[in-house]
Formats: sequence, structure tokens, C-alpha cells
Amino acid sequence: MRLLFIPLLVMALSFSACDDDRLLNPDPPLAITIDQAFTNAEIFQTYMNGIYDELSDGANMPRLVPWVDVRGGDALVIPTGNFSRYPIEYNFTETPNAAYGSDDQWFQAYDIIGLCNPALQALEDPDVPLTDDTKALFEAECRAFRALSYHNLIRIFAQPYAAGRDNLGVPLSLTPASPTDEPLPRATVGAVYDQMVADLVRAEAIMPATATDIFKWTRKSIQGVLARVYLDMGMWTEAAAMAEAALDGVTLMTAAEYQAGFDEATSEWLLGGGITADDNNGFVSIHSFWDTRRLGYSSLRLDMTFIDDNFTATDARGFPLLRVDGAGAPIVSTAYITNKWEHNTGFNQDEVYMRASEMYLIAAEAYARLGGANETRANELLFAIQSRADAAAVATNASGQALIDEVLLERRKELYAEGFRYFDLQRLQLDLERSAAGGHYANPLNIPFGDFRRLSPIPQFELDGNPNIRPQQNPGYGN
Amino acid sequence: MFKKLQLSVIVALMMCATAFSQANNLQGVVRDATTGEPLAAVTVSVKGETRGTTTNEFGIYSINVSSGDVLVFSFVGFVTQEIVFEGQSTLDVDLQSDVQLLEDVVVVAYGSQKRKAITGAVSTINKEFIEARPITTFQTALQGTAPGVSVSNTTGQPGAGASIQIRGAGSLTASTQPLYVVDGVPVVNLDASGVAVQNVLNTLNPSDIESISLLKDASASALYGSRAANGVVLITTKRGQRGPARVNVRVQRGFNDLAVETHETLGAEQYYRTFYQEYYADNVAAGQSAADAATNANNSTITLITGRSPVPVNPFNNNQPMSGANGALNAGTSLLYDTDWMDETISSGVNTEYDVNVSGGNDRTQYYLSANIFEQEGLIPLSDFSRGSFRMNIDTDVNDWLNVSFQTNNVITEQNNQGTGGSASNPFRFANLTSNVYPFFERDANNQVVVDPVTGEPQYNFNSNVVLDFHPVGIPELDRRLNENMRSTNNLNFLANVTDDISVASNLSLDIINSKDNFFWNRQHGDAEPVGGRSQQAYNRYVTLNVSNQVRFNKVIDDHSVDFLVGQEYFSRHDEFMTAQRTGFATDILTEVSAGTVITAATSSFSDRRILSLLSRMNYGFREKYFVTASLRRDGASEFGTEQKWGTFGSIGASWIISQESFLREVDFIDNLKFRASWGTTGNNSIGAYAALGLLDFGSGFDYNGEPGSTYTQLANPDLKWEVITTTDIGMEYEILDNRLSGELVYYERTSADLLFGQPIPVSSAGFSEITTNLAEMRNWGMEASLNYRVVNNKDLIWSVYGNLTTVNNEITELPVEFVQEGTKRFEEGRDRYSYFIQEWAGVDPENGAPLWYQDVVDAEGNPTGERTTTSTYADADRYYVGSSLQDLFGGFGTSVNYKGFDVNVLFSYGLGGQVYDFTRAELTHLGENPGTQLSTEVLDAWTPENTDTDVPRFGINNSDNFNSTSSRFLYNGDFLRLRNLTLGYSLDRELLSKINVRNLRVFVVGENLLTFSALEGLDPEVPRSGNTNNIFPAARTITFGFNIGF
Repeated sequence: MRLLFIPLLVMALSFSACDDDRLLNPDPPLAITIDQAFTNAEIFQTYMNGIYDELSDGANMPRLVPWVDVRGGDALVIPTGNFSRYPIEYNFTETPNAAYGSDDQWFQAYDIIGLCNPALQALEDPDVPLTDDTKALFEAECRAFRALSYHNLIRIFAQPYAAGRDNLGVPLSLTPASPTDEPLPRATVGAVYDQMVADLVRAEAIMPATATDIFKWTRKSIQGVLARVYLDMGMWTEAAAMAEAALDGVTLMTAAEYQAGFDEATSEWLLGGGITADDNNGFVSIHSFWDTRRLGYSSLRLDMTFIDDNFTATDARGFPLLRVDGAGAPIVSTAYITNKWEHNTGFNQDEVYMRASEMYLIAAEAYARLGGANETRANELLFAIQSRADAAAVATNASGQALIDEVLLERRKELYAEGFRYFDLQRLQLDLERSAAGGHYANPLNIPFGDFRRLSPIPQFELDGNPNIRPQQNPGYGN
Repeated sequence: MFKKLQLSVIVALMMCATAFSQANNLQGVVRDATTGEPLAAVTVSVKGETRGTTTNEFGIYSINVSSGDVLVFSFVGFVTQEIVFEGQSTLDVDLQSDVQLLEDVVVVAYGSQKRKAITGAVSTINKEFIEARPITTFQTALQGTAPGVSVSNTTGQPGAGASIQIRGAGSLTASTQPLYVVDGVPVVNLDASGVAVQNVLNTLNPSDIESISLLKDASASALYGSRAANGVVLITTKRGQRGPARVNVRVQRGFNDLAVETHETLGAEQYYRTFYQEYYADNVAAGQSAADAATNANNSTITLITGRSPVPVNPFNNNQPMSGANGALNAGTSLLYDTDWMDETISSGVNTEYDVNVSGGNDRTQYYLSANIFEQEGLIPLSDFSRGSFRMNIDTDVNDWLNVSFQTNNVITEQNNQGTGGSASNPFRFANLTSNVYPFFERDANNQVVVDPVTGEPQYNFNSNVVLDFHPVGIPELDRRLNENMRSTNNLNFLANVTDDISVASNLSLDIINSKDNFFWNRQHGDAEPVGGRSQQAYNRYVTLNVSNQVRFNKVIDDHSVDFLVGQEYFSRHDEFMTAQRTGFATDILTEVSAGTVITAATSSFSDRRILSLLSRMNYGFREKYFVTASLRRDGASEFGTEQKWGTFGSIGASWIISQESFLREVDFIDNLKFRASWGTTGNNSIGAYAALGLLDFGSGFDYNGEPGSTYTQLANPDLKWEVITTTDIGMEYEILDNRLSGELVYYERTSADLLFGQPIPVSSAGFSEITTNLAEMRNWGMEASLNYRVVNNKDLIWSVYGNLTTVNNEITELPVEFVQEGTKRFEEGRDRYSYFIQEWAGVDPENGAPLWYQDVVDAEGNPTGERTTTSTYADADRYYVGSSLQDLFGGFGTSVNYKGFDVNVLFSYGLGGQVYDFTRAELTHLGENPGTQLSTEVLDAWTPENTDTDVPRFGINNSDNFNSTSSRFLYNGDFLRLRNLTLGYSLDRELLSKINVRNLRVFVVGENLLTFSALEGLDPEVPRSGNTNNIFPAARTITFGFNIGF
């Protein structure tokens, strides 16, 4: 009887020994392994949605847009009570270890690029279980994401295109990478721009016309990014053509809509971030930073001279937007408080990343620079923007440099607080000039173009992991 | 019916036996020679024959014997006696307890072993150190009792676990806690709640513990393979004994207060004056008259301390309390209140315990049944722990070759807890940081106490300027932070003696933990006020299944003894989590989630971990003096990468009992002398359940604009594997001077390799900044010594002293990056992992009172020249290595005395060396930077033009010197000596008690943490040395009275 235990034990041992593979590879709860991502159309779709989510992530566009304005001179961050968000940027004291915006963009942009590269590779596989339309859609989306991310990076970390194609750009990652791959050095500015153009041209060509949701990529918003890139590159004809294509058929919003605060899509939004009450970035939103009522961070202000000198009293974008006190005077708390972005405590304001007005101004600038007969269309587009904002506006029908200057000023007026000014200073190679009269701190910091601080440092976490980029740190940051 | 039949058969047989012999009836009493207590269930048999009987509950036996028969009296734990029957009518026998025998057998991995045959490092702790101590978890009882073991309190919250390290921390980033094994089954060690610090090890009633074995080296622990890197704690629960039922009842009640006084701080008047004087001096310097300067200084001070409070804050009965440069109180001025927040917050708690156990059994079946109720109140409002547990341990011989045992423990624990660390909801932090100038009860603009219009009770003041809208008593009363755990642990064991040499053991264990968080944040004040209250209910469930089979071959052939074990084990743990949370409540009375209006969380998840194992051990002994142990375990673990699923761990050890050699056998004073050496490897598997997989995560964080999203959150890591620790142990164990002095001396070395480490990778490649690799290496080494000296050992007096000490050295030997800064510590090759790397304090500038720190002198290129200078600008100060929190030496010592009915036990624990960063002290020495925040009495010594020889810099309103920023100024020597436990007991005379049928009665008083001598002020010395001293709840001093009665 008791000897029976031996065969019983042998049986028990052999039973439990089988199927080790299954036992030792339990499935995770809310995830699948990455190799399964592209074998199923529904999962592929969630993957694409995930990239959109990354673009509107609190560390991506919502952080970058105020970053651009704080460094651009027309805006400023209040010196105290700013929750330590953007004082470093305002003072141009970024270091590889301390920054709020540029280091995040490095991470976020490469995160998106790192998501797009495997998807693009998967889409080349003839067995990918998608219809041709969906394949084209996903490919166009990925290329657009990749181009937009490189466009953000190149403008933060590299000299403008106009300063030379051979300057150091950013690492150009185009294929899925594994940690054992050789780390990438910086590619040239020219190579990065060429890649953006290639991606966008292809995306524009294959983007299905059925994609019309402006909270995702559409052909128009791809054309818009391409117009921006061509503008950087001084390719005026191409820039004008793409901007015209993007604005074609789009109705500009009214002055009243402009004043209502940018928290819901209007007819002229071309690309936006869809934010909902149960899926939002909390206080890290453009609206929160510009909030006037201390419901959000409420830490950004407008340069008073910029408003006083450039806006008529009837311009919907200027004084009517300023928050006023009981006597009707603009509230000054070191500088003007504006209602351009309307924050609410539900955190569910949508964010705009591209409006048709910008396309008007890109086309206008490109035509103005082309000169000659093109100036007619430039003036037409310019006046459309001017007259929409101010019923009292009078067309100047300027010409030559005067026209270019007028378009550039209008661009500044139309797009302030939307993440353009600093990038324009870079593109146009202008000095940053601030005045105490406008509300800037005592002894305002002026940074001429060419100062090392005009380029952000490559973040420490990249240097830690990438020996090939260490000798290529931007000047002035410990090299 | 059947039993009666059996009885009658036995009686009949006995009658037959009587008929055939010239028998005399012999009667007598068998007693314990030491205590004089009658012994029940002693086997009394006639040598060479099958006849026999056992003593009854009064120790009385009766047997028929013939002249010349040899009577054998045997009982477990006593020396067997043989007596020749010479015709007496009565024969009383005193059995000597076999202390030697009892101590000789030690619980080890997968079994037990004679101590002398052990080749590894095993320390044992007997129940005497655990029973009757008012502790929530047995972990606390380990402090000071065994060499190599360091216990620190992560918090004074009742029910929280302790941090235990055996021979130093073996890992940089993974867990350094040992594996816990209860009755042969590995158990989980975790806080079952995601929020509360309630460690599930507190479900084990310490009174149920018979013994604890600590496996400290690879020879002892390698059989636990990939989980044994930090050592193993083996816990054995009590079992029933043969003989009549014994009932033990213990009742005790105790009181807690602070073990260590908190920091010395300023009273309201002094606090006010400190700021007043500063303003006054400024006003005079600005040319104001003395009267104006005083008026303005009073006004400014009140404005300053009022801060964000909607009503003015002024602890005095008028608005101009002080005048003159020294801040003399004006006539008629007195304090309306002087809130000692610490005093108001800390309240003496009570602990209560009821413990009942019944044990007994017959020849075949023994049982141990227990029930326990334990309640402990903490020092912080609404921080407490209670436990109700039931245990049943049954052992039965099914037949002469099969034994079955079953252990089950069913427990409910409840814990009320409060916010911890730097969180605003930490009442202890509030009490530390809030100055006495703020009233405890709300006051109106006329400084009158505001009463509740309904109850007439004074209302708590939520308007201090330090932690807004918080009150250290009010919030705990309004909120609910309750965590309830239910646990059922069940083990079924079969042991079959298949042949005389081969046995088969099979163990099946199921452990179920259900944990529920029942949290409510009220809608009137504090964290959830803006959202109208928040309720959170979370259910967490942990189910662990462990199946283990072993075959053992055990044989002694002449001089050779062989014990060979081969086994197989399967471990599976399934965790599940579900949380629901809503905000927007209409009232603070209805607090179920459903009563809220806005769903803010509704989540569920799970995780699975599995281990498949094969294990084997060989013990070989030759002539009882040479012993060799070799063990091998192969683990397949689900956590690890596809290329690294399986790992092999093993050890080899040898011991030599040199005292058995002929050349030492003649040396009188040496009773036992043993040398041992071992080497082996163990693993640390404490990483995330899916840490090796490349994951596409579908968590809700990746949805976009109402559409489901997913993203790539974790790089695949097929080479990820466990950390491996290689241990070398060389030791000597001795018993000399007639067994009166015993102890051991050990050198150990633990080399940790393949340490988990986040290796930076280029973000630009794929958007990930690091990948977990097994690249770092570290070494711990040191000495352990212990001794035990029985000073006196006779029938009336047993007195012994004991002590132990441990040294731990640590060095990081390989790091893939130059360094890693972890808070105040820095990891760097060649340094110990506890090295502080912070700004170095250089004293106070006597000229102007500015704080000074050291700074590198740099050359024109910006490179340090090696010279140092000082700076008063904190941002310019450089960081340096300024010491380490690693202790040089730690351990415990004590004494125990048994004199007649009295027993005394004294246990001290101590530590020498190592520095502690006093986070709270720094916060309290802000020198005016944070008006409203409490000030240490140190500021009274602040620099002034008259007081220039000081290490406290100048005081200033809204001071921006940053004096209290992290620097070596706030590092303090961590030396300490603590009277950990003092127990006094008195047992009543047994003979007297036997008249009222009471077996024993003992009354006792137990003191825990009665005295603490420490170089630290205001901080408990046994806080974790990891550096986090951020307002952790203070440890309690406890005095408990109780009695123990047995029937």
C-alpha cells in the first residue's frame, strides 16, 4: 500500500512538468505584447489613437505652445506665483538638466517618432490586415506625425534653415530601433527638412479625402504643415500653393467667435487636440496657463506695449479681449491679462494647433516675398484677416518690404499666445527685445539672434544614453 | 460505540496478561525535575515487552510489573529514565528535561536538522522573545535578538510592516526584504492596500509562533532559489502535544506614549517675539521712533502670521502685545492660547489583547487551537490596528506510516491610518510644522472661540497659514481611511514513510487575502473640499497557491549518515485590483461611492506570477564530526525574459566538529567546537510581473477624444533576469565551560551581481530613455558575533546573559553610469550605497551672519582646481560626499533571570555609526523664510551682531538665505542604545494552584522602548537608513500589564 506513493509521486511530478511554457508566460492584464499590435485592424486603430493622445499630452503641445510665447517677447511669465513653470524659459537659463518644455519636446517628439516608425514598417508588409484606404490613412497619419515632431524639434534645437543647410539638426530616426542599435548622431538641418518634405508630400498625396475630423489629420492640415515647412525653407511658391490649398473652402471664424475664447473648434480650425472632461491634462493646458481668474495656473501675461502700440481700440483681438476691472480699465498685474484662451474647471477645452488664418498669412507672406503680380493676392489675403478682426480696418495695399512687414506684423497680432512668435524670431533671425514699459521685469533681458541661448540644450537624459551626441551639444551648455 | 468496543478488547487483553504473571501493581507520580510539575502523557513501559501505560493529567501512572522488570519512563523533551523494579509499592520519578535535545533540532529549509550538522548560517529565535509582547507583527520582535538582522520602523502606524535586512542590503533598486516562509510555505509580504501601510504579515498572531529560524547564507537558503537573495525567515507555528488538553488564557492591556520626544520648538510668545524683534530693529534702523517702531512691528507681525487666514491671527489678548527692542510684554498682555500642536495631536493610545489557546492530543492526533483579539491605538489621531484571528493546527497519524497535518489561520485585520510623509493629510507633519501662534479652535475676528451653533462645541480651526484648510484632529475625525484585510491561509501536508529509509512529503497550500480600502475625504475641509467630497472603495485580492512534493532518503550506515532530498514545487500568485471612486457628495453622512455624482475612477486590473521549481539537497555526515551539505534549485520564473526564464542556484557547505577529535576530547572546558564554511548563490526576483515584455498598453491614459487608444509603454527585454547574490560564510560555533558559555563568530561576504539597473538609452532612437538591465554589482561583508552565558543554573535560579553584534560594510563595485543621485544619496563605484552626496555646511559668516557652504574653485575653463572656497549663495554651493548612513556596528544584548516564581527579561538594541538626515529639523530651522511654520529652539541662538560665534545664521523676515536647504548641517550622528524590551513576571506556586485545578498562573508587565539614548534630538534612531525621515509617525513606548492562566 504505502509503496503506491512512489508511482503516484512520479505521476504528479510528470504532470506538473508539462506546459511550462504556458505557465511561465502569463498574459498581462491591460496590454498585449508589441508584436501583436499590427496584426489586428482594431488594435492598429487604437495604436493610432494612442499617437494622437501623445500629441495632445500635457508634456507635448500644451506645454510647447506657451514655451514658444514666453520666449518670444510678446508674452511673459509672472515672476512669483508661477508654480516654477516657465521662469527658466523666460530668463533663457535652460540647462541640460533643467528645462520646462524643450526637454519635454525632445522626449515627446521622439516618442511619437518611435511610435510611427514601427507602424510605417508594418504598413509595408503586404499581410497587414487593413483595407487599402485604411493603409493609406495610417501611413499618411504616421508621416504627418513624424514630420510635425521633427518640425518642433528642429526649431527648438537647431539653427533656422535660412542660416544654412549644413548646420547640425537633430538625430533622424526613421526605422524601428532597438536599444542595442548604434545611437544616432545629429543629422544636418538640410537632411531633416528634406525628410519632413518627403514625408509630407507623400502624406498629402495619399491622404484619403474622407478624413475630415480636424481633431485628427486631414489633407488640409497636412498641407498646412507642409506650407509651414516651405516657409521656413524660403520656398515661397510652394509655401503659397500649399497654404492656398489648405485654406481653400474654409470659412474664417467671426470676430465674435474669436472673442469667445479658444475652447471649442470653429469653422477655421484645421488641426486641434480633442480634450474631454474625463481625459484631459488637468492644469497643464494652454488655457490654464493663460487663465485670467486664477482657476488655472494663470501665470502668463501680455506685453502691454505690444497691445498698446499695435491694436486699434476696435480690433477684436486686442483691447476687447483684455480682462478689465470694474472701471473698464485693463487689469494690469505686471502686464495685461487676456481672455484669448478661456479656461474652465472641467478641463475639457479643446486646443487649436492650426487655424486657417495662419494659412492666409503664410500665403500672404509668400506672395509678398515673391513680389510683383503676387502682391495683389497677398494684400487680398492680408485684408481678409485685418477686416475680420476690425470692421474699421482700411486696406493699405502696400508693396515691397512694406507689405512684407505689414504681413509679419499681422501674423504677430493674429497669432499671439498660440505658439508662433519665438519660432518666427528664429526663422527671421531677429533679436529678442523686451521693454520694462511692456511689463517685462526690471532690466529686461534682450537676446540677440546668434546668442547661444537662442538654441535649447540637448537634454541630459539623451546625453546619458547617447555617446555619439555628446560632442554635438549646442554651444554654451558645457561643451 | 466502536471506541467502547476497543476499550473492552484492551481491558480483556490486560486481564489475560495479568493472569499469566506474578504481577505487582506499581503506582507513582512522574514530575518535571526542574519545575516539580506533574507530567502527563509520559510513556511508562516495561523494557523488552509491549506492555505499557501513560501518566494521567496528574502525572499518576499505574502498571503491573514483576520483580526484575526494567521500567522505562520516556517523554518528548526529557531524558529517558530506566529503573529496575525491586518490589516497591510506589515509585515516583523526576524526569530531567533534555534542554540539549530541544535546542539541538533546528527548523531549516524543507525540514529540520540537528544544529551540529548544519553547515550554514542559521539563527533561531524562540517563542519567549515573541509571546506576550504588545507588537502588531512578529518582525518587531527580531530587533536585537539575532546577529546579522537589522530591523527599522518605516512608520509608527500600528499594523505597518517593519523593514528587515539580513546582512545588509543586497540590492540597489529591487527589494531588500527577506522571504517569509510559514510552516514550510512561502508567503507574500506586502501592503495589500495600494494606499494603506498595512503589511499582511500582521495577520500572523505572534503568540501562535513556536520558533523563527533566520537563514542567512546560501548554504541555509539556496533551496529557496530565486527568492532567497535577502535571506529567509522560517516561521513555525505551535503544535499540540500528547496528553490531556491544556487551556491557556492570556489577557493584557497597555498604554502607549512617545518613545522619543519630538523636536524642541518655540512657544507662541517666543515665536511672536522672534518676528517682532526683527521688524522692530528694521523700523528703528529706518528712523522710526521707539513707539512707532513697536506699533508697526506688532502690526507687521500680526499681518505676517495671519498670512492667508481670513481672520487676523493673534495669540494675545490685545493688538499691541509687545514693545521695546527686546519685545517685553505690555502691561495687561497675556496669551489667549499657546497651541502645542504636537501635544494636541499626539494622544496616548491603549493596546488590548486576549489570547486563548487549547492544545492536547492522544498518541495519534494532536491539536492546537487558538483565538486572538488584538487592538492597538496609535499616537496619531485615528491611527490604529486590530486583529481577530483563529488558528487550528492538527497533526494525525493515519496509520503507522502516514501522517497528515493541517494548519489553517483565518484572520480579519482593520487599520485606520492617516496620510504620511510630505502629504498635506499627514497630521504628524502638521503638528511638527505649525507654530503655536495658531489657535486649535477657530476664533472669530474678535478672537473669541467659535462654537458650533447646534452642539455648542468649539469648532476646530482650519485656518493656519502652514497647511491650508487642514486640522490634525479635525480632518481625521471628518475623513475615513480604513483598510480591512481578510486572510485565510490553509496548509495540508502528507508525510508518508514509504520504507524505513524513504519518506515522501507532499504539501498543498492556499492563501487568500482580501483587502478593502474604505476611504472618504470629507466635503468641508481639506483635499476633497473643492470637489465636494470624495469616496474611494478599492478591493484587492491576492491568491497564492503553492504545491510542493519531496522525496527524502535518510540512512545511517555505520559511520556514514546520508540525508538526500529531491523535490518539486509550483508557486502561483494571482493578484486582482478593483477601484471605484466618485466625487460630488451631498453630505458627509452618506459616503458610499454610489452617493457621489461624478465618477472619477472605475478601474480593474490583475497580475500573475508563477514559479516552477526543482530542488535537491544532500546532507552527508561522517562519524558525527564531518558534515557536508550541497543544495541545488532550478527555478523557472514568469517575470523574466524569454532568454532567461530558468536559473540555477546552489550551495555547498561543510562543517567540522573539531571537539569530537581525539586531541580535543580530553580538553575539559571545551564541550563543543565547530568550524563551518559555505558558499553558494541565491536570487532576487522582486521585479514587476511583466517587466520583461514589450508592452502595448491599453490603460485609459492613452484614449483620445473618446476613442480607445493604446501605446508602447515598455520595451521588450528578453535578457532581463534575477539579481544573483553569491554568499560566503565562514564561522565558528562554540560551547565551553560546561555548556555555560556558547556562541558563534562569523565572517560573511555577499556579492550581488546582475543588479537591476535602469540603463540610459538614447531617447532619439525610439522614445525610451532607459531600459532595465542587470549591469550593476555590489558587495556586503562583515562580522557577526554572539554569545550566551548561563551565569547560574540551579533549581531556584537560572540567570543568563546574552549579546550579539554585527558589522556590515558595503561597496558598489560596478555601475554602468558614472553615478546615480537618489535624493540625498549618491551611488558611485567604490562607494557604499548609503553615501550622502549633498551640499557641505561651512558654518556662519561671523561678519554678517550669512550661511556658508563649500564651493569648488574653478579655473578659467570652468574646471575645478581642487581648491575649495565658501559661498553664501546656496545655488552656487557644490555637492560633496559628507558621510554615510551605514552603521558601523549594531546588535542587541540582554539578560534573563528566573528566580523561584519570578522571571525577568531585558533586551537592549543598539547601533553605532552612520548618520541620519533630520528632514524635520531642517524644516523647523527656516529662520524666517516660512512665516507661520514652527521654529526650532535653535533659532534663539541665531547670529546677531552681538552673537557671532554660532552655527545658526541670521534670522530675517522672508529670509532668502536658504539656510535650511539640504546640507550636511542637518546630518546627525545616529548612535543609539534602546531598552527594547523589559519583561517582569511572577508565576504563582504550582502546588497551591493545583488545589484549585489551575495548572499555572503568571502575572506580568512588559515594557517596550522604555528608554532610548540617542545622539539624535527629536527623531527616533531606528528610522530607515535609506534617508527618508520625512515626518514618519513616531515610535511608541508601551507599558503593558497582563496575566496568563493555564488549566
